Amino acid sequence: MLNDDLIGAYLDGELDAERSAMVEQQLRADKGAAARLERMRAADDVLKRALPAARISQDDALAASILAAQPFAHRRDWALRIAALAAAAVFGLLIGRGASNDAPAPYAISAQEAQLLDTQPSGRVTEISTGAFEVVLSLQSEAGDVCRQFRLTRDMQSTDVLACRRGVEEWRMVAAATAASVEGYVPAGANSPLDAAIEALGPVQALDTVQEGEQISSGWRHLP
Amino acid sequence: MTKDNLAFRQELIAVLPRLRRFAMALAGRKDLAEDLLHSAIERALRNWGTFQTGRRLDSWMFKIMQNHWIDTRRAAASGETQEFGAVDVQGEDGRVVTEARDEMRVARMAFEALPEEQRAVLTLVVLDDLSYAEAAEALNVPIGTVMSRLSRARAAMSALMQRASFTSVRKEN
Repeated sequence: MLNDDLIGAYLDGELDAERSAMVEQQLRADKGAAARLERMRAADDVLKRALPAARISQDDALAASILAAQPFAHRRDWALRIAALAAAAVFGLLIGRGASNDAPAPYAISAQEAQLLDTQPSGRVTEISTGAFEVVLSLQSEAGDVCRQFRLTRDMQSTDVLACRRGVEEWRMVAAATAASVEGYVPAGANSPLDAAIEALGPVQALDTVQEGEQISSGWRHLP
Repeated sequence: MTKDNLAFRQELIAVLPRLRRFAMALAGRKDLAEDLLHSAIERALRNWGTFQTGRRLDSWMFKIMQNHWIDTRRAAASGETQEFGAVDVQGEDGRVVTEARDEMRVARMAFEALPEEQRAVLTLVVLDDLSYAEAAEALNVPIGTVMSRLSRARAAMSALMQRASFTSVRKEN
């Protein structure tokens, strides 16, 4: 007996040759099942024509900001409201993680790293004594913090660190997370301590190359 | 790290239309879909180093979006009412006859009437050609659930489309 799951799997090319042949044989005998297959196929075809993935237009703002590495200064009210509601849940998660053994050890920013945080643009990799160092992102909060997320990779293992400073203060670590080893798959959300720390900064703006350059040349004391 | 951040960004832009379509399938509303898309891309750009070259980027992004959507939905508790506004449709040209436009309008209405999880699975498997295993990973559900949701979604699509075309024929007469 051919059920719709099996007919669907046949239509989607999910069956191996043997089961596929078996379904075809049964479809020849079962007119009702054959009709259901044709209905599914027709519905799929119409759906594909009705919902094409729109082409990216030349002036797609989102595509432009992805390319320019300056995403999303604006946040809609909706997102802020959701973020406020989510904060409580995220805080609970951090506490939970802090208690577990796999939480990354506290991380002190070395003098060498602090110097790179001061001077190195995002996206450039420098080999230092503690591993390969790369700044991934620079942020500025409305409250006046400037933060940089960097990744340190050593022995196939990466640690992501968020470091912030304000005014004349030194760089300090705000959050750290162990990133994927080269083989290991880290599911989305695995960096949540960093995400949560960034959320906790309040409204933030990711710096583009020009803004980041201004901060570097002013010793990270450039006010928004 | 030998991976190239610029190449990652470019690949992200290439899959953007499909991400946007999936966001719309989940959120059902254009403003919420754009917010979801923005948040997912921010997260992806922060975590791009954990993306393994050789994997499908769209599939990785779908998973981020799905997770983020579940998180925000949970946070929003009762949530927003879902409604599709006017969906922008591109790809139609002037030569498309009225009859076909009608059929597509009916298909869009039927799609919009489906529950969110059915819209999601149809988008991934039928529109984006993900395998059942890839869709299961993106949606965080077992393969069996992908199969049963897909069956229900297709059955509902067929039923809704038949009913809608019947109604529109009656209206014309």
